[in-house]
Amino acid sequence: MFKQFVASSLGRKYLMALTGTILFSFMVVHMLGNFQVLLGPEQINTYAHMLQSKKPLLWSFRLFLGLMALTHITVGIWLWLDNRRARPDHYRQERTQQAGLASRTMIYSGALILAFFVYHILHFTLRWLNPEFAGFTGRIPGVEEPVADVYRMMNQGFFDAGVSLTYIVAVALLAWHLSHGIPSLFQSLGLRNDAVSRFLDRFGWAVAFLLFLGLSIIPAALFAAVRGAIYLR
Amino acid sequence: MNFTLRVWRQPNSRTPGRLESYPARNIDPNMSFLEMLDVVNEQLTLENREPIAFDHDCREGICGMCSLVIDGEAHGPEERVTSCQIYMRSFKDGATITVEPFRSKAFPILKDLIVDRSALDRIIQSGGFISVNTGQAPDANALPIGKDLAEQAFDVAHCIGCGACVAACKNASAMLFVSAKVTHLGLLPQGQPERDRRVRAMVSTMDAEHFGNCTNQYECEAVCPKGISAANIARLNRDYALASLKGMFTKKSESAGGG
Ligand code: HEM
Ligand code: FES
Repeated sequence: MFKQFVASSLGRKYLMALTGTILFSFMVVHMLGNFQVLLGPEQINTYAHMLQSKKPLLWSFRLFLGLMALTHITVGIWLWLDNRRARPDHYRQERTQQAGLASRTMIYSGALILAFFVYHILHFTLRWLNPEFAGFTGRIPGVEEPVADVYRMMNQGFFDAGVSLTYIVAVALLAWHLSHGIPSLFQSLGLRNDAVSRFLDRFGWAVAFLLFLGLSIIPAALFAAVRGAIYLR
Repeated sequence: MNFTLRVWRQPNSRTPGRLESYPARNIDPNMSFLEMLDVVNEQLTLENREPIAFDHDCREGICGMCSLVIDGEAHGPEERVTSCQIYMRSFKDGATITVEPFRSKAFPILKDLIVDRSALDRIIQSGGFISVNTGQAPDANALPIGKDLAEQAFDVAHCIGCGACVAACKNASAMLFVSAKVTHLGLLPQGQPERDRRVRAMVSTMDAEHFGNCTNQYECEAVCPKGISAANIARLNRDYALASLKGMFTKKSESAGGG
């Protein structure tokens, strides 16, 4: 029965919505955590050290999140292929009534987000693109040995205009994906009716826009700060 | 009025089709779209050419047979009407009008503008029924149903199964149709005994018929001649999840046989 549910059209929509919600929630937490870079080196480095020192927890969380992302991507592609097969011959003339552009480009925005995700991991998590990041260490109160200087890594990383711009474009794409994704997930989970549907559409855009502002402020502020345009402590 | 028609011509499901142009001359603005096609067909017959095949029956918007995509819109440019209820006054004089069949893997093209929509019938057969005791008809008021509930059920009972939702959906999904049937019977007390079984059976038939999956874009509700809301799809999702969840914890009776 469980297998049948997961393979069904509606069951797969549930999987998309549930994994999408979890990925979205992570993005909010990730954003709030990273805001600490705006509060100075001690704040963000202490936070980073706190996460790094809980290895088993960190790795179970990474595993869980990876599994959610993998499910979201696999099921997303599976649905997309199914949907293409459902209309083998296209309309010679087609007039779209109310489907927004974001809703028609989910697979493309998703693919670009995935490409950025790989880049982001190589950049700041594995540090393969900038091996020198691994050597950045600093000190925080209450800890004997030197810890990773995440503050310096982020400042160095966003010193480059191209890198900062890439991050900002990527979070814009994520917001674009979510401007359809958020209202959509309520429908997929069966939590929508005529009374709330307009509200959900606006709510989706508003949340997506706030997420964009929040996530893009980090590269934008660091880029401006290292160039002396603004002052951060 | 005069028009140029670009009509999809296809001899049968195996032969590829193409758009062909036909003039439609001296058309009365108050003719329906199908009457206009009748006029064109009469001319084609006089010229010894094959008339355009299209589906129709009631021509008054209740049978759901007429299945045309006119200028890229299922059931044409007007809201909440079927193709047979479109009148030529809705078009500009001299316009070129493109007419295509409903396109979907689940609806094979039989000829020209006629598609086989029996996939929808098979979905109904798999669950679109209730069990009624034989014998005397029940008393009219033996089973009271609240006004609100009756109205809500009636709103979705309007569905005439025309398949425009499938035609308009970017993914050729039949979920608006299925959600209307599931909601209609699922809201009423008569529909309760089979409720879980119904939603699971209808969804599994829908999947087996190669319809696509809803991506929550609501093109379907925009073309539905009966104005059925896509919010019913949310109810379908809810009903299906609950029925599946219950199914995971219910053991099938071993003595249950056929019959
Ligand atoms: C942090 C990253 C991501 C978040 C927060 C996210 C979030 C969401 C949400 C909330 C939905 C709506 C689910 C629904 O309709 O019920 C969705 C849909 C979708 N996502 Fe993502 N997503 C992310 C990454 C990706 C990636 C990497 C892909 C790669 C292919 C992808 C492909 C899709 C597709 C194709 C849909 C449409 C599914 C459908 O409507 O059938 N997403 N996403
Ligand atoms: S012919 Fe019956 S609804 Fe159009």
